[in-house]
Amino acid sequence: MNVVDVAEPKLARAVPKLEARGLYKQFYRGSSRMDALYDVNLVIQPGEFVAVLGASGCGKTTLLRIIDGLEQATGGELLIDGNASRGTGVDRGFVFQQDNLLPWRNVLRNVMFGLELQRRPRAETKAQAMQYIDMVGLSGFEKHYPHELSGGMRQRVNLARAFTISPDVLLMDEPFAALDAQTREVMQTELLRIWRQAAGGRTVVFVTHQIDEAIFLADRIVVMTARPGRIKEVIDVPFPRPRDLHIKRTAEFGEIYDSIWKTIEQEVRVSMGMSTS
Amino acid sequence: MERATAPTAPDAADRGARADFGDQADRAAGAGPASRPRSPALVRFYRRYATVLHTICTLILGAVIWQVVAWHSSKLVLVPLGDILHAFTASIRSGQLGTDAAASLQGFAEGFVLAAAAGIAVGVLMAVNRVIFDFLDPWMSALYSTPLIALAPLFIITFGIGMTSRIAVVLTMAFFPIALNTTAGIRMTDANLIETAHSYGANKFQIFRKVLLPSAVPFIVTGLRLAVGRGLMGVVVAEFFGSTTGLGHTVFTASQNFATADVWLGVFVLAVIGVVFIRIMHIIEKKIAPWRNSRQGGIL
Ligand SMILES: Nc1ncnc2c1ncn2[C@@H]1O[C@H](COP(=O)(O)OP(=O)(O)OP(=O)(O)O)[C@@H](O)[C@H]1O
Ligand SMILES: [Mg+2]
Repeated sequence: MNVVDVAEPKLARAVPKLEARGLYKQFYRGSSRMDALYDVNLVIQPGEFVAVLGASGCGKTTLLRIIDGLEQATGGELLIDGNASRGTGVDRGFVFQQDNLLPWRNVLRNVMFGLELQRRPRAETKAQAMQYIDMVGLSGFEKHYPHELSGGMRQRVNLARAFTISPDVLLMDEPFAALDAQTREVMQTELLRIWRQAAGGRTVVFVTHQIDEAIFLADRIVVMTARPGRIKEVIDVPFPRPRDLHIKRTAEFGEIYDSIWKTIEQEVRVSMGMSTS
Repeated sequence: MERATAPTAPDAADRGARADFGDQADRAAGAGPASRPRSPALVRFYRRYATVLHTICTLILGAVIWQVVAWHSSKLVLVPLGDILHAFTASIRSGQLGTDAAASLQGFAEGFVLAAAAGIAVGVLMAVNRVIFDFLDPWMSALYSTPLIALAPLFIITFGIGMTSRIAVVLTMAFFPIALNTTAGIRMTDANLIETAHSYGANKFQIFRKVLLPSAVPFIVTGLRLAVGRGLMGVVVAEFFGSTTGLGHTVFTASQNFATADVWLGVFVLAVIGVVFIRIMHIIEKKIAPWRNSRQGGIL
């Protein structure tokens, strides 16, 4: 196990932050049944950064939704800190694939939303929100409404909103997909910085379609099969931290990239109904 | 290193975006960006006050058409605007218009406020509770599409002649569009937003207060706007049959006495009341739902 590489020895003996035990998820449409997840087993330690890769429609979002408590597994168990999960909670933050900002709130009030729900003092809530708005590079836009922002800016507000509640577990569903390439790289670096600052605590499960993003960010990469989603392979990423963008241009990075691409290519072909030659 | 690279790209992106906003604001204010030559003062004045100018023009045009048609038609149907103005001053002087308008307005306002309170409350209950919805929806839909105004005489039999029957008819007329729109607005809330609130740990009350209600505001306001017209109709009809005061009463007696100018005067005053109330709804909507950048017409 790779527990030893990524965590302090005392954490290594602690219970896993997240544990999926034989998770199944079926959707029913009328009389037809659709398997989205099939026997998913996964252990994630506290403070670990795990990326999830897989073909479109293989169940990545479904897995995150089950972890967040928005969806119930139809079989198996999901343990959080060793206890069976019961619905949503403020210990887990979800960055959705779509930005899901409240259109009637300006940027500042959108970012304050999470802490406001927890009934924190307003001054504290506002200070936190301003800090993260600044971090995602949107200072000066506090009073703007979502319809006045570009897609990339909206997604950054979405990120700031999730960071503000400082959840133990950050579940991120292709959070940077809507960003342009440059902003994405900056946000990746920022994400690592925030994650490192949250000393030992913050666990991240990060769904992406970008292989290089997964390698750059994660301690481990989980590759899922085409539907029904199963875990095909778990890859340890050997780069030490803190990482900077230069590692993307090293030979080792390229090798890992190629091997993951080969694993995934097959699954993408399967998911698109092509031959796997 | 991670820190050092951070500010550049978003900064650049933001500057671009800010420039965009500046441009938009300029255009909205009627002045082009500095680089373009400035338009003549008259053109700028027109752009700035276009809606006001258009409104004035159409009112003048309407008055002209009115006069032309009035010259060529029976005085029993259309009278020149001068006659209506005359009736207006006479009625003001005698105090008739004041008492009529006050009585009608009171009946309308009280009925409308009750309808708004009851309509929003019932609408909310129907939206949040499946059983309540199933039980009420068939009746609500049926009653909304029935010309309930035909029942006005029955209200007068029940509540007698006076303010109570007026309020009851207005309430009945105005209630349904408000309730139905409230329900529709809440049910139309983007499911993703509800789910987001859930994920952030919102309880049921918070979801209602911070997601469902704000999202339904534009619908509720639309319901209130529809209710203005129906409520005014209610007050007039109630006064036709069951009142000794009010604009409706005066219009009714005037038409029986062939005092056409007084009929039109009453109708105009009612129209003004309607327009004012709809304007008020508009202002309320702007205040509580500023994110709705409802266009001033002209989508194409
Ligand atoms: N609410 C639902 N009802 C029925 N089927 C669903 C539902 N949600 C997801 N599915 C199905 O489950 C499968 C997995 O969906 P999921 O959204 O988890 O995929 P994904 O891996 O996130 O895909 P993508 O990369 O395109 O976002 C899909 O085939 C989808 O059609
Ligand atoms: Mg997905």
